[in-house]
Amino acid sequence: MTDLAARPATRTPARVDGSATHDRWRAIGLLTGLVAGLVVACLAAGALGAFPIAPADIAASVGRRLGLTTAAATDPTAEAVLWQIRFPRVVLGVVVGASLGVGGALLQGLFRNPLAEPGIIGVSAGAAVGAATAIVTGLSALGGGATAASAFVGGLVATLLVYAVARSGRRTEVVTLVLAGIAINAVAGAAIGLLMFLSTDAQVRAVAFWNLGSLGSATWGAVATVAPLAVLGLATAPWFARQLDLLALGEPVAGHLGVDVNRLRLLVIVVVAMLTAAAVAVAGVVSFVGLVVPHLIRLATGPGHRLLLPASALGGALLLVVADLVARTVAAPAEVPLGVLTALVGGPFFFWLLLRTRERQGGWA
Amino acid sequence: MSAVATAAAEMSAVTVRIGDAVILDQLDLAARDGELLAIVGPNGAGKSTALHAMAGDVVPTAGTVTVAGRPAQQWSRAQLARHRAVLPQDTQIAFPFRVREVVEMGRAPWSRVATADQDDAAVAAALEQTDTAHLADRRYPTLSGGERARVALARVLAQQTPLLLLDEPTAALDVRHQELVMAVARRRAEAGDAVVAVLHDLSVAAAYANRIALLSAGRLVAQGLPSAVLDPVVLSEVYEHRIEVLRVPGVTAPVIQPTRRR
Repeated sequence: MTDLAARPATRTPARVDGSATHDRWRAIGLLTGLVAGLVVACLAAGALGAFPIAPADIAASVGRRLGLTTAAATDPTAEAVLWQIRFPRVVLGVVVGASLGVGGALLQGLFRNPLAEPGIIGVSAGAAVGAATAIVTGLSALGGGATAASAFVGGLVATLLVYAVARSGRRTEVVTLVLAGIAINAVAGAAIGLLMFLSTDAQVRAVAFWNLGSLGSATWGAVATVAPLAVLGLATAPWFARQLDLLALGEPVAGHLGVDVNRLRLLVIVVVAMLTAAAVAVAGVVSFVGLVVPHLIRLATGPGHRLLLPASALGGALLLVVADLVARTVAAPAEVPLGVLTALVGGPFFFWLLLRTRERQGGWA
Repeated sequence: MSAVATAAAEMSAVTVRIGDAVILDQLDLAARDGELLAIVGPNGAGKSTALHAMAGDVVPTAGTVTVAGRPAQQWSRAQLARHRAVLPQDTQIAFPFRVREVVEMGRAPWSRVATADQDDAAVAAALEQTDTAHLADRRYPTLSGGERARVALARVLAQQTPLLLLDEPTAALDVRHQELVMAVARRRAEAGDAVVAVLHDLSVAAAYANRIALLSAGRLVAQGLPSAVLDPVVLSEVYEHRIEVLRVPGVTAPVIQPTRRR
C-alpha cells in the first residue's frame, strides 16, 4: 500500500478557471458593478424622454425630497414629470425586474435546470390568466390588489401543475418540463382569447396589454399594490439559498444532507408564484428576464445561490430599467411594448443557450 | 442493552414490496461499529434497496429498521444527516459547482453545530483521503467519471458520520483508485465507524470486508466472514454461473473469478 501511495499520481492538467479566492473578488466586483449600473440606469431613465431633465437636477430633486438640501425647485414641470411619471415607472421597473430575476433563479434551482423560466414553463401565462380574469369579471374594480391576488392564484396553479406533470419518480425530465410549459402556455393563451372574446372593447385593450407587457401604466398606486408581494418574495428567497445548493446534488442526496425536500419544494413554488404575480399584475408577461439574468450571473461568478439570488435581483432590475428606457425612447413618441423587446433579446439568447449546451454536453436529455 | 451490543444500523425481518414485486423478503442485516460490511449479489438481488432501507430512505412494507438502536423514522432529518452519510451510485450535479464547494456541501448538516475550523479541516481531510485535493478549484462537470466518483465520496466523508452507506463506491474507478477508495473505507471502519458498501467485485469484497452479506432475490443467502461466505458452490448457484475461488500463495484474500469457457 505504501509504495502505491508514494507513486506520483497521474494528474489531468488543471483547467484554468480561477479559484475560490478569485471567486470572492469576482463576486464583490459583480455586486458593486450591478449596483453602480442600476444607479446609472435609474438616473438615465429619469433624465431621458420627451422632456429631458439634467441628471444634476434629478440628483438635486431627490436630495430635496430626502431633506438633504433646502434649495427650492427650479422647474415645477420637471418636478412633476420626474415624480409623477418617471420615478414610479423606474421603481416599478426595479421591482418587476428584481422579481423576475429572482423568480427565474429560484425556479432553475428547484427544477435543477437552467431552462426553467416563469415565461417558458407557463407560470407567467397562468398569472396573466388570473389578472385577465380579474379585469374581465370586474374584480379589478375592487382595486389593484384584487388583480395581483388573482394573478398570484393563476401563477400558483400553473407552477403546481407544471411541477406535478414534469416530475417522474424523483427527478424532473427536461423534455416533459418544456412540453408541459407549451401545454400550459397554449391553454392560457386560449383562456385569455376566450376572456377577450367575452369582454367589452375597453377590457379587450386592457387584456391585450398583458400579452405584450409594458410598464406604461406605472403609478405610485401600482407600486404600492405589488410592492408587498414582491418585497415579501424577495426577502424570503435568500433563505432558500443553501438548500437550493444542496438540491443541485439531487433530491435524494439533499434529503441525506438534512433538507426537507418536500417542504422546500412547496415553499419555493409559493414564492415563485408571488414574485411572478407581482411582476405580471403590473407589467404583463415580460419573458426571458428570468432566463437571461441568472444564466449570465452563473457564467460570471458560479452557481452558488447565496450570490446568485441577490445578484439576479440586481441584474433583473438593471435589465428591466434599461429595457424599459429603450422601449419608450427608441421609437418615441410611440412606445415599443416591453415584453416584445425582452423577447427580441431573450429569444436569440435562448437559441444560443440551446446550441451551446448541445455542443458541450449533447443537449438536455 | 449496552452501547457495544447496539448495532449502528439494523434491519429486522424487513420486507419491501413495490407493487406486486417483492424487492426485499424478510431481510435481517446489521451494520456494526468498527466493521466494513459488504453487500454482494447478482443484479436485482435488492442490494441497493437494502442500503437505502438502512439509510431510512425506503420505508419497509414490513419489519423494522433501527439506526443506533432507534427506529429510523423517529430520527429528525438533521440528526440523521449528522449520523449517517450515503454515497449514491451516481451523483449528477445540476450546476457547475467547484469541487471544493461540492465537498463543503457535506458539511451542511453541521452548520451551527461545528465551527468553521472544524468544517475546513473535515473538507481538507476528505479531499486528501480521496486524492482530489488537486481538483479542488475545478468545476464538477469538467471532471472525468472516476474523478467525479471520488469527489462524491469526499463529500460523503466530509459529512463525518459514524455510519457510512456506500452504493457501489468503486464502480467507475480504475484499479489504483478502486484500491484507494476501499482502503479509505476500511480505515474508517478500523477507526470505529460502521461502513456498509454494495460491491460487485467479489475479489474486492474478499480483500476489504470484515463481513459479507450475500443477497439473492431479496433474501439473505449467507452472511459472515469472507472465507465462509465466498464458497464456490453457493456463489455459482446464486450467480447462475460457475465461479471459482482461487487461493493465491502469500495472499490472504482469495481471488474470485467466473469460469470462462473458450
